[in-house]
Amino acid sequence: MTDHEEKGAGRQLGTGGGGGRRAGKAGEDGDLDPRVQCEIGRQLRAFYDDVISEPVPDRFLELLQQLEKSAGKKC
Amino acid sequence: MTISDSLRDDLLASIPNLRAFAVSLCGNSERADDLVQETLMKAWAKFDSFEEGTNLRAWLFTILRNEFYSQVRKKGREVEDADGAYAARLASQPSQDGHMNLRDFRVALTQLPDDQREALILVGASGFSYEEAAEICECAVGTIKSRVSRARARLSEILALEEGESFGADPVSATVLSRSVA
Repeated sequence: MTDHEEKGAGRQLGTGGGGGRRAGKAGEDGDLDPRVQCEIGRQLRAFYDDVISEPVPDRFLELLQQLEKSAGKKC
Repeated sequence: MTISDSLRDDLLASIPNLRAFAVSLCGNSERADDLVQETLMKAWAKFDSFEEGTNLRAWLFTILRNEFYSQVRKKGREVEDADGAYAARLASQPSQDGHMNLRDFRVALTQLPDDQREALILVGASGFSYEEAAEICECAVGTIKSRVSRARARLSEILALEEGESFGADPVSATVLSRSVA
């Protein structure tokens, strides 16, 4: 998985900060600044809720109807 | 097979969550929906093995996750390349006010190892307990905890979240600063 780091996107993002102290280092448990944890949690939920709030695509409603129909035939 | 109305309703209500988990796993919404479709069909075919009253969402997430990894094993590089291209496309999109953080965050997520990303999503976004996440990922609770913690640390590095930055104006330190200058 570390090969992801070699990709351009990673490098671009990794250099985004200024000269301030790093709040967290990989592999150190519970070492993160609570505000960093909070910020990550916030962005994570924003990303996730973005998808959740989309309406359920018709293909899934149709699929369930189809599955029910085929189940009905057998019984 | 036939299922009860309440189970059908619960299944329907789980779809948005399944989609969100699928997008987090494969980073591509088109592929994510194929994954959800496959999950629903698999779930339907083996509903007789589901104990009604137990955690349907965890059961469905487990099916989706297994399906994802079996696809990755089958398709191998093809899948990895598609994900890489997706991340690059996200990164190259022009920034829009207010959306930049979310876009950066999505790109950063794609750079986490699969096991860390799924643990972080399950616990931090899907609302599962560490115990439930451990069951879904078929590993020990302690393993989930350490994956979540490593995922957070890695994300903070990728996003270059640093103390005193990225949190908007901080009135306390601003006051201290202006005082020390004066």
